[in-house]
Amino acid sequence: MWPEDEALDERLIPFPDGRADTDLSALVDALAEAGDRVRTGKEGPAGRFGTELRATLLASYPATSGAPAGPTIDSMQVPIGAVRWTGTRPASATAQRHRTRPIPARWPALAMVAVVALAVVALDGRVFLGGPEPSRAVEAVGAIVERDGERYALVSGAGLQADDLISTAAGGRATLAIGGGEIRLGEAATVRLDRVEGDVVVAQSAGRVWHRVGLAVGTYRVLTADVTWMASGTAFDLDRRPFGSIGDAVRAIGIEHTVRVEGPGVAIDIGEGSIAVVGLDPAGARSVAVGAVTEADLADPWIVRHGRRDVALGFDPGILDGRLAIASREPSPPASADPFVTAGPIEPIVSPPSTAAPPPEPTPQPTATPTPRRTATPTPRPTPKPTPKPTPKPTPKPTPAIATLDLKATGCHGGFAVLGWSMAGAERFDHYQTLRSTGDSIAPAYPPKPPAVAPDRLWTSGRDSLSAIDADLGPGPYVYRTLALDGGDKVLAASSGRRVTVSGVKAQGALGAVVKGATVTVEWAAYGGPDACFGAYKLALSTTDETPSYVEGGEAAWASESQTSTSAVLEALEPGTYHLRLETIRSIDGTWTLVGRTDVATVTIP
Amino acid sequence: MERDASPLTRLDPTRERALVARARVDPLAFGELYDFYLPRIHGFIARRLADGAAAEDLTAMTFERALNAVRRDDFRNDSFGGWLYRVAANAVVDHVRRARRSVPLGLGRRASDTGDPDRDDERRLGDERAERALGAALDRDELRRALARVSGPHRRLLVLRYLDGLSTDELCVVLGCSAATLAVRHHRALRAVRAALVRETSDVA
Repeated sequence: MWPEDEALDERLIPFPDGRADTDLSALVDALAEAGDRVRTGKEGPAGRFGTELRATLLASYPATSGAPAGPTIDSMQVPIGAVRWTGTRPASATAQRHRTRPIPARWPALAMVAVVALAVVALDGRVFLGGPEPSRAVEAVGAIVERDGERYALVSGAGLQADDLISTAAGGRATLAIGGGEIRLGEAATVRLDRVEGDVVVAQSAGRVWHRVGLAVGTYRVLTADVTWMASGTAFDLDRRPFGSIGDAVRAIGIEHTVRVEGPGVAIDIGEGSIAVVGLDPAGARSVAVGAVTEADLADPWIVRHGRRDVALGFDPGILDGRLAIASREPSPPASADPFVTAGPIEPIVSPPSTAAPPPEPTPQPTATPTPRRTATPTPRPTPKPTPKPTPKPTPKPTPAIATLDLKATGCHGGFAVLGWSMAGAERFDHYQTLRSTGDSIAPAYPPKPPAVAPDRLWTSGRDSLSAIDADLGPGPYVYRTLALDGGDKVLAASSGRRVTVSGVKAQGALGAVVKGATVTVEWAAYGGPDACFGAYKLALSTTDETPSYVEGGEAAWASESQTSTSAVLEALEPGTYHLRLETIRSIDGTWTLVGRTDVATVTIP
Repeated sequence: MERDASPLTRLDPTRERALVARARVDPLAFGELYDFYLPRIHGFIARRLADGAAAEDLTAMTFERALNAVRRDDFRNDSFGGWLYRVAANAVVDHVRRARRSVPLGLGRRASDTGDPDRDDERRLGDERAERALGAALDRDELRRALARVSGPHRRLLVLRYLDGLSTDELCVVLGCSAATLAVRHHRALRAVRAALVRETSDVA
């Protein structure tokens, strides 16, 4: 065997006691000599192609790293993954663009482009290196921001900072971009931005707010009095409103992942698809009720609207997966329906509000000015009165940050998953990469964050290469998300996360066998799994091997590509004893993978 | 019986890993990797494509991807060569697939290669030319015919091993299997050729 194989499990080495097979040795020599004859002297490209390509590639390194520092290569004993970035990230890692079919004659020009890109990055690396996005208002209608004791109309594009207090009027709304996610305030809502970078902290004192936690956020906390809602990479809906004598109550719906709730006497997790109400009695008592969301909850136009917005931004829809399209065709609940009342399991602490929450003073329509502007009336009226709702100003539909791909993922017996996705747009497309995770979901970002990984076998470069098989998986759940990326690995389009469960080889039960003269009729239960997991049936037969297997090198006496086949007839068998086993297999990477198999049946032909 | 198909044309694995790690910041290290692998990767692609310009394009694309990959700190630095071959092989498959509409009937993948229903598997697209090259270089006609009679997956492994000269770890990456599995597959492929050779000999007799 090859020197590298010396440590292999000997049971898998098909040479007993290491004895060589002279026939095979001669075969190996003949093949190797033929290969040597083909390769000799014909390996390298002709002309200047190799030189020009080399120059172009090396020119993309930052000039500062041209002179190697540290130990020489020969003296290095570098463990895998031991080297980490210690300085500025090389510019070309983000600035360089792949060209699917580069034309060698253009290499000098590309080299110049690379040099220019380096200079640009040196001038303002933040633009190319993906520095943290500043916090800002994405949309604001009837909203104000209070900063340093002054009140301003909140306008789209206005920058936000820690300690800003954002309020919306009746009929107003606001969308705040924080850490790659969004905080979306409904009408009559108030939040204070205690911290907007790294670990984000938001205090929510009134109203309904959709929290879509971005990927740039470490820990995300929402404070409602002394109860804290903590999450990471999550979406959840928090509705806080007064309930007469019991004080405020907060209703939360977990949209994606889990939200941790902690407070005096409260320590619970709200899972995806769960609903909880926490009573904030001023006397200090904290009541909690948790249940499952209902279809009516999920059909709430507020939920649907924000779920769609999340998907448009490339986030996972979580519990809303598959419901957003359906919800749009179903009648919406009455506008007056109190969302608290729809949550049946939490009645003990839920009652209709006795008083309406005092809405903040409506403010003038925001202007197009991208910076906060002082309002004409800097202080609110002491006793708010019902005011006519300002006519919502038509706002442009949010433009998706990235396009969407459809992804179909099928978990199979035999330890693999079959993936297929829709075609991405042609503009700037370079390749697809499907991500896999053992976690709850995968962010639509590249490179992936652990536990998500980007297996090489799930990388395809053709725009019409729309399928892949992920193999060698252990049994268990996996989540997949397919990305379309440009040459700089920037995400152009992303699918939703798809969860599959991969299983081990399926036991297909007994193999029935009936002998009649020299004929054997065998029967079995059909595989019954997804078509994507099925390749063929093979009926392995052996007179010597008591556990015959086609995928393990045995002979097949019969085969079928139809999954509905449940019987086969073997005729004109010689007298003797035969061991039979049916295997369900699927081709992966040019080899057969075992999907399922029956028990062995042994028959004797008289 | 076994022999390394290219004992003098391999980088020491420890040195290769060191070069890959260093190439994250050091163009000279990447240059050394490039110098070693350029002829191998170009040869690998050129043996599968008749179009020399396309071979150069795919070679360039492979090394561009390699450069971007090694400069990311999450690059899995265990078999750089295997990774390169895998990218190159995928590029060839994609290229052939793209060109399919212009491929005359009969020149595409032969259904009789395997006799098995693996039509959805396209990993061997582009391999036909390399298979013919290996067959043409064999001394014995019956061995050439025997090689043509074995299944596509068996032939692919043998071509990668003996024509392209991939090492064990490189083959494992390209074929997506463990070294133990590879050993078994390799042995089966050789056995299959031997069985076909016996049939060829008996047919002639």
